Amino acid sequence: MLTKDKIKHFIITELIADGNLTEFGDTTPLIDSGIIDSLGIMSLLGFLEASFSVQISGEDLIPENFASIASISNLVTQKCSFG
Amino acid sequence: MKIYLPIRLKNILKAVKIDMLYYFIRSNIHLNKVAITVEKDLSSLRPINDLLVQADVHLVTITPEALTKKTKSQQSLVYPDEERRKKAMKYLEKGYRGIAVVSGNEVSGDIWYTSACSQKKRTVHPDLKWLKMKCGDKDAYAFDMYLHPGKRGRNLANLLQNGALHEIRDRGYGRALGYYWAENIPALWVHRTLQWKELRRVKVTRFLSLRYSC
Repeated sequence: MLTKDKIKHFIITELIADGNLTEFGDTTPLIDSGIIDSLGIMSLLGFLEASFSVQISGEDLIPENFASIASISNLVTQKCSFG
Repeated sequence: MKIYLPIRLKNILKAVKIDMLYYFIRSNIHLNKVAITVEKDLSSLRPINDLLVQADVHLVTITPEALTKKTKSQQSLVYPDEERRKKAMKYLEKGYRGIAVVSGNEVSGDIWYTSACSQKKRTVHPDLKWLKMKCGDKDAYAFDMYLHPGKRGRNLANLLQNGALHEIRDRGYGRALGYYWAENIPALWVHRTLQWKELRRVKVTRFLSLRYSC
């Protein structure tokens, strides 16, 4: 499964409470819509670190990096390439 | 069964005590714990209804009258956690102002603020000393945001803090001050998504009531 697909699957199954978000794409805003709230970010970080073996530091925890699936995927790719 | 139940109860009590002790030690004894001080310009806030519409809750100002009725059925605000209600009463006695996010009449969480204008002694809040922050006449210091563990999620933290910022602005303040612990990821996230500006990192060493910061 591609990075984006893995992240998308996690968000749909774990972070969207009612699961009735009909249109959900790579650029769907995740913060403004409340999908990644203060609890959600904790789960998401755990998932990213465990699934992609990356370390996400406090400096990376900015809304721009988690605004959409595309931006999270970019962050993971960047972290992977820097080892 | 006769033996099993007392053992279970004993284990639960043991776990609760250890948990409380651990929490007490973590909150009251630490070495070089990093606090990040923040400020928020209140001229640009996220619209309050953005977040309220999505959740089935409302925001209210906490008053002593709402909390002091004898039974829970008479109270217009009911805290699920009695300790937090007592803390709220203590804050009100000190002249602090509180906002609660409420579902029905049950408090899901609260946040507090104070300012130079609302404090007679001009010592706005003891935190400001070790945070090395100055609270001017147009500033309010926001502190101790709490969400009941069973009510967390649904973006309530952002909703509550954004609501408090609106109230602070509506009372004529231009800037809010605050802090969060760097290790507290949920708090960091709430402050960053609501676009607080980070000011400085303060290393805090605490042993019970003694605090040292640099």
